Amino acid sequence: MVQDDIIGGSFPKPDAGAKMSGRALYAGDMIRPGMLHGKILRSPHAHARVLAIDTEEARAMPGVKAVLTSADIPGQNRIGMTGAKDQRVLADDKVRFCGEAVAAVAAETKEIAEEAIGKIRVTYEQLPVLETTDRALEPDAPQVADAAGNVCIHRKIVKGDWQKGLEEADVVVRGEYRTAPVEHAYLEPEAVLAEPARDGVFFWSTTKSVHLDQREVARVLGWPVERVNAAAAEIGGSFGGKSDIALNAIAALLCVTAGMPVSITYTREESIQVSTKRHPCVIRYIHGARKDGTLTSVRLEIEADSGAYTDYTSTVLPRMIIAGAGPYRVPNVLLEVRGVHTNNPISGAMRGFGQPQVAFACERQMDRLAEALGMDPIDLRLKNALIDGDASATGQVLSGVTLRRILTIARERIARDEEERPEEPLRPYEKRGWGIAAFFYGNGRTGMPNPGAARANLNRHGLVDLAVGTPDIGQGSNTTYSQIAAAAIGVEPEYVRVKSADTRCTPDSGTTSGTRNTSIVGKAVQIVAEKLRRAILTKAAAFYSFNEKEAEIRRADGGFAIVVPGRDPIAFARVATDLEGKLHVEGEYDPPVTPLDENGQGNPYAFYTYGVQCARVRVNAYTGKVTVEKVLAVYDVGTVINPTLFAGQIEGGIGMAVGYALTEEIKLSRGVVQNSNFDSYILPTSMDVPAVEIITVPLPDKEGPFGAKGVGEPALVPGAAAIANAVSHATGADFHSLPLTLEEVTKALEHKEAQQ
Amino acid sequence: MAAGKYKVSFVLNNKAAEALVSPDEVLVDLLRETFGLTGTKKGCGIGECGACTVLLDGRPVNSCLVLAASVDGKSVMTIEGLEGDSTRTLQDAFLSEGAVQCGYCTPGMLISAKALLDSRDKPSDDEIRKAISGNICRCTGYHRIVAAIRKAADAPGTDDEKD
Repeated sequence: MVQDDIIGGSFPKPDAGAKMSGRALYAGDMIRPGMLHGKILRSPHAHARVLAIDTEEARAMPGVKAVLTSADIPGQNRIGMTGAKDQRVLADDKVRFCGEAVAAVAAETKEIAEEAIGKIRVTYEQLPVLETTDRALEPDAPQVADAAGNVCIHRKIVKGDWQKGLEEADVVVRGEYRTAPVEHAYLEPEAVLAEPARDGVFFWSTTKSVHLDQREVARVLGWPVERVNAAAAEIGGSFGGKSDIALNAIAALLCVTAGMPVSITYTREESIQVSTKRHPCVIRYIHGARKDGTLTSVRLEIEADSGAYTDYTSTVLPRMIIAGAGPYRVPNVLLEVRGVHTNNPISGAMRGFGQPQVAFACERQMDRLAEALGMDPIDLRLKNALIDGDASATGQVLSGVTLRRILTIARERIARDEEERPEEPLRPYEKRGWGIAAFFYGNGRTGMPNPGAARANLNRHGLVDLAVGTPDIGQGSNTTYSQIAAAAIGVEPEYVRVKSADTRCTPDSGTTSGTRNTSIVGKAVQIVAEKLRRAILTKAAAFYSFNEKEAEIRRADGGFAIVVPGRDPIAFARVATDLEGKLHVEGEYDPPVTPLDENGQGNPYAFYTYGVQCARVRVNAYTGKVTVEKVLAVYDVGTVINPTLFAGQIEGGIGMAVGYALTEEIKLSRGVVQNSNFDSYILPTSMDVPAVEIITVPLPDKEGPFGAKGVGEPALVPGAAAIANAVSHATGADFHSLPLTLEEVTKALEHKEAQQ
Repeated sequence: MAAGKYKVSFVLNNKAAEALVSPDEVLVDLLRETFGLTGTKKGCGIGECGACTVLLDGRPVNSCLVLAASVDGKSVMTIEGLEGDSTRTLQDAFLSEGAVQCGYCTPGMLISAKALLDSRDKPSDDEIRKAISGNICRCTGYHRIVAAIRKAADAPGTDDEKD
């Protein structure tokens, strides 16, 4: 098998077999002898002072093995996904969101744990609940966080003079947009199993980084990190969520206190109330353009509700403004974002990392601008699309930009679809239309070092052991890594055994987030695999005395071997045995990025994925019902490593975007989620997803492994924007809020009629 | 017999089974906790997501909505019990089409697909979509799952499991 068949081959996921037979073990499936069941007492209030907690009665119950409050935390009761460590494991002074953990119990049965939780008495002094960012920004607003003021982050990007740019404009379009908080809705609710280990504690986590879990839990326990270890169980979806560090810390502490394994699994209601959400935003835009469509200025102000704690707000928000001018050439910009604390659920990372909200508002603006100019929306985008040598809003000079090509392909395909589609007459009250949205998405963490790391070894069975820290969250990253390693070494993917996400035996490769697995960790895998290939050939040449230059790695006798002319193939198993201990290699890859300065200037990413989605919708003007008939996705992800996994990401991202566009919205009242299960939080079913057509621009990236870039988040980013634009084109009405529920669509249609 | 518990006798994955169940116990908990059959997943607990789908007397049901006491005298088939050529054909198709991502919906999907293919020889794509409309998948957007079921339905038939 040659390299070309491996890179670009649809190799199946090796984990699928266990998943299909029911044998795969997710954290909540694990059972241990003597295992205790943990339950968490959560605050019914979104903002309250905790005056007293009485656990006496719960502690006295037979079968109860551990009861915890913040007073029982030996280390620091402060955790966080990034540098801001402001979140409590268990509430101390106050509760800041509804469902915040106040106390925890481990007991012999779930029933006893539940009963014990009910016997803990908490005395609260209720405080005013901050429900909106508008109110939180008023001078007399109640204070949520420890630091003064409710603004937890304020960032801007300044380039040129936006006001001067606006004076040069012939047409100015202003708009205010709102997006709803959204739930990841991974099908597996959070779960954890913590077990006593020889000199500490070990836990199975539903996570996007076991190494972050390890460090945070160790700080909470007040232990050196070596005494805390974690591995990812099979993970039932993440989409930017999971790694509930408070949950892992509570389970570890209950386990250490009771000296027994402790299992905790959330109910769906608990998961939806307690887990992080996609930031709800208020987005205000001013776009200026000349008569010919040339953009002269973009002014953007975003207020993002970060909820009660910082979590990923400090890294999600900079990405929002980096994408704030869209994938367009704009000489003058002022792009500004504020993260504002409220007593709503914590906002965190969710597929798209802030860009789906911005794409919706920015691409609505582009369509409204096209209308004001009397221009075709694709022409307007083509006119302004970034090209090679252009500087982005952050001043990064870009190369390998394919957006114009992508837009041109999209236009041709829409025309073809219109020609070839069988006539489906609409009912008198139905409207049909296309909408388009473009984006670019930087792969990896924003403007900071975020190395991927990997280790490889040739084992005595003649197989390559590959170790990476980033968990496979179901998307198939381990399969991708096996293909990259196999291609670099010269073997087949089934000869590469990938071990991921176990602090005992894998290096810290960073988190599975920010679309960094394929591009950044994959690049580390390629580097390490090439090192291993060289080590095998060089060390074997010295040991067996052959000329390294004549040697090849080839299939021979049912396995892989070093083949040298004039002698028998030397099987990998023999090479590994003879050179035991000498064929371990490790390495890392850190993308070349620079931090953003105070004006937001710098090179935040080393890779950009480009793409366009076009949606065709049918709208029932009486009911407001939107049916997404088809989505056309045109993407530049560089080399596609695994076409089936790639298509799975695009199709899954489109499915999720249909929910974001049309139905999904966490409804809150005084910080309490009103729709905390799937009867009222409406996810797309098999009947709701559109037909999908995928086209890729096969241009290998100069930096990525074998030319590959990432797709996980880019798959989602433009979808809701394209659907909203399509609904607007179909109906002629304007839309400023997501989701486009029946009520939202009928309201906009009524508003349009009233204006006529 | 323990106080307040009922004895149920039923067929579980083609074998006779007995258990003592509480009046408020649901089938998914009985399967997972008493029998250790954790292939049946619990995603919502209210019959909305389909992750806990099992066959009850050959028909797909949400096992979180079935009282454990009510299975007395009935037959329950979980993902662990699916076997034979037609199951393998379905699993092979799920594998090759990339229908499995995180896998949490997969057991329920396979059970719903199996129920469909047991009752319909050549289902249309629409019938396939309807058959899995009670099973939520957050990863795939459903296309690869529909394609896999289509592929299995179109495969040369082996009727080894008409029991």
